[in-house]
Amino acid sequence: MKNFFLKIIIKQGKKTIQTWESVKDFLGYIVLIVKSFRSLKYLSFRSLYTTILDQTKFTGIDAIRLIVWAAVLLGATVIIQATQNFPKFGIDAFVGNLMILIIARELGPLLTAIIVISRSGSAMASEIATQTENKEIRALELMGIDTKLYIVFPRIVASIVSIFTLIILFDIVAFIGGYAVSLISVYIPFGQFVTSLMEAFSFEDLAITVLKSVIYGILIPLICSYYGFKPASSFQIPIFVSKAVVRTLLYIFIINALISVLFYM
Amino acid sequence: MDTGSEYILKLENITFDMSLFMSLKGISFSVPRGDNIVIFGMENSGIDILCPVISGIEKNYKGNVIYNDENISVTDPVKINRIRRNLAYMQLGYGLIKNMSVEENIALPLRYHTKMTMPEIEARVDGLIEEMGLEYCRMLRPVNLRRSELLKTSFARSVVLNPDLLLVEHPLEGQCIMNVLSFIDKLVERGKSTRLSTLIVTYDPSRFIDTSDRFIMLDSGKIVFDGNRNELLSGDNYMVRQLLNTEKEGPLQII
Repeated sequence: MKNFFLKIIIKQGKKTIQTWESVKDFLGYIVLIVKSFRSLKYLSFRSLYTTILDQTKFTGIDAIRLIVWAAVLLGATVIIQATQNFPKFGIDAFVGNLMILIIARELGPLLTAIIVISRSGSAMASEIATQTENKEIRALELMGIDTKLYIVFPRIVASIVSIFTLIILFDIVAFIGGYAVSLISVYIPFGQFVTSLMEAFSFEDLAITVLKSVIYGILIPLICSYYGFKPASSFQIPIFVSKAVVRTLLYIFIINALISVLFYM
Repeated sequence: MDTGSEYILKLENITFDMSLFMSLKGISFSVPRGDNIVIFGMENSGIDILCPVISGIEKNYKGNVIYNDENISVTDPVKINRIRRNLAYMQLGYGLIKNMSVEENIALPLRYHTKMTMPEIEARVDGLIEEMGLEYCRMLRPVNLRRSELLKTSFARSVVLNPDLLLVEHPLEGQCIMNVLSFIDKLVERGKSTRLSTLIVTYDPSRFIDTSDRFIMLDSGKIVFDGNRNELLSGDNYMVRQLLNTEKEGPLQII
């Protein structure tokens, strides 16, 4: 019995040490990125423009169709459920509030982040991992190019811009598209719907959307590129790409919950 | 970045023992400005760790690397990146960026490090592309290039910032013999015209006998030969003889 508990303690101890080492490693990576900003004064910004534009196109523009579909379907589902069930409780005037609560505050940013992680985060991690394996990252370092600045920084800028734009687009499409689709099964006067939305929407909601965009925009490329730089051989690439996606999703869920607790409780 | 010193590079008592297969045991030598030096040896001789140590990619060593009178062993990463503008490194496998064309690869250091205008960058890149004979493939990406084109693109990218020292790591691996001759000519021409010092690491020094000023042989992490062309060819060093004549029997241990 004593041995059994001892084994559990040792196992947990090892796990704790491993987790601490991983946290330390990730913090070291963040310190490296922060330190790399010292190189900003030496580099020419035009070398980053192309990457920022390419990444913004891939993360933002190319994801629009997927975002629109997801937003329309989600918006329609929420409106149909609300209009079918709210009258039973005598709260049918609160459809707008529900849309703001569910879509603008929570699901819009969260689903946008999930789509960005699965499209761009995985692509980012695998691209960097392949470049590491092909010794391209080493080649950049040998040319005196600060790889943290050259690779991670443009992706962070592109992600922040893309995620903010996509969240706003998601919310608008979910409201309008969802309303349009819901007309198939229920009728709500458009004026009443818009008034209900406007009454429920506050400046705080917009500020929190900006905050989420910035946090997600920094975290997604940061975590995905961290795992992208990790593989030491080609067989490790899928392992680290999978880790990048799963860990980023987990951290985004945690951050989303934290923001709700901090600002809405 | 000419400091006026006679030597572009000095290695002082470099010791590296972090790898099972590669070690350096107190290596010291200097590279005079404009010289073309060939470092050769067997696979486990330590030659493969030399360029990473000099360029600062490998940091786990003891001793001093003095480049242009500056000890770069203790320099911070930002400064190392500044130094690498003038200390070019043509790595094994060429390290071309796969999603960039030939001309984008060559222009990359200029776009990142300099304030040159785009027409100035284009002019410099055009000049190098012409010099290397790469006009017909300038828009192609590395995946579509042949080995000689990869070699020339990598060389063009290494010298585009007009460095004063070029480290070349096994440049002729898997290359056609005739293309090798043309590449060596280009290397020598550039060395003469720009006073570029070169340090070539290779398993096959015979390719550079007619063009290099000095030959250094390493074995088991130590310098076992350091001399000029005549000393290399007519000397009585058994290790050099065994390697140049590719003999199985001798003091060199074949893996």
